[in-house]
Amino acid sequence: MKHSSDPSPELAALLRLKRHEQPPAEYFDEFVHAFHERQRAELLRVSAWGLFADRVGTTLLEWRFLLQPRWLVPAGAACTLLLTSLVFRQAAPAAPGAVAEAAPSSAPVRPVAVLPLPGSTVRPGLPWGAMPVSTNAPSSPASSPNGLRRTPGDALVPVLPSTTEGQPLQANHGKIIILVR
Amino acid sequence: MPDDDAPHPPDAELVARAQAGELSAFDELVRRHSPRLYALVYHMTSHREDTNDLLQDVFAKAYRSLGRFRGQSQFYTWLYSIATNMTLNFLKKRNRRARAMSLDDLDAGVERNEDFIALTTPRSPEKETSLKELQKKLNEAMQTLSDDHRAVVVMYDIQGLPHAEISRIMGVSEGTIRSRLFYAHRQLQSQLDEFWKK
Repeated sequence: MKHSSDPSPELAALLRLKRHEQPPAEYFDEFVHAFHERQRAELLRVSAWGLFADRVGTTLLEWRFLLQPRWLVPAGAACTLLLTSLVFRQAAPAAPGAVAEAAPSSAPVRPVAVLPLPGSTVRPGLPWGAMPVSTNAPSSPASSPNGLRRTPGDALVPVLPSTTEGQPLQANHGKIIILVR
Repeated sequence: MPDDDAPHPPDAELVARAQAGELSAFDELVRRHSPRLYALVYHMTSHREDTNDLLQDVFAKAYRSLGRFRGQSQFYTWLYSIATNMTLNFLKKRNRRARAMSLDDLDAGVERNEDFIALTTPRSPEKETSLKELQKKLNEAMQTLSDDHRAVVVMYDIQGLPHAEISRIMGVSEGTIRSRLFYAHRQLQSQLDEFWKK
């Protein structure tokens, strides 16, 4: 069958003529003997490393089909997945310690219901309902169990976690800052 | 390609015997495949001494690796793969020592070859001289091809292997083989055009 890649008849004939550029038949008889001699000599001088490199080379030759485009994408995807899983596996042992350290600041918070005590008033304008109080925050002896504490004006303000005794944090929710001293 | 239909044992049987440690079976494989492998390596290197050394290396490597040949491809395909790979690696390292070949290198059987007769008929000293020049020009043109392109031309045009077989030997797609052939033929053709016009 004629292919589009076939050469002209003259070029094809000229190339076929090169099949006759062969050594005489005796050469190939002698070649086997020379090969035997070479094998014997090789046994004496080939290092273990040389044998290993040779075997690796031949094995790679057998697996080179993976370099074909139709295998390249799946092989690349498989390698990426493998590398990703290895990276995550290495990162995993460090995670528990990191969680343990982060626990105090990331502890669940619950909103505090505003329950005016008998005979008290709630200071207007304070965002009580929206003010969460951390359950892990250190509670002062003056605070009530629901995280509120009475101020001199008989109003309840949330107890904010403080960095040092008597120096509470500022809870800035955009508009109002409560400082309790 | 291998002469399995001949009265000789098939390659697979010889390979099994050689894998079992029978050295004479491997010798038979060497005798059977060395002429074609010689042609492959010689037309890629254009150097007889290099060809001889490389052919020895190829069979030595094949012998060492024989234990891992599982018969997933034909033995000669596997052997061709080793030979092609080693020769391409060799050519990368070697400084091009291209030797112009002449018809003197052709064997005696060429006189009966129909291509030779067609190219030199009617026989005349001028015609034969022209053919020698043409052959020399072709060899020079072959040397201008890249190693990969030359390997494909050698296997397809000189050795008559089909595209699919060359694809398996070289570990690339058939499309790549066709593409390499197309560009190699175009390059050879353009370099020989002056001679065709004479």
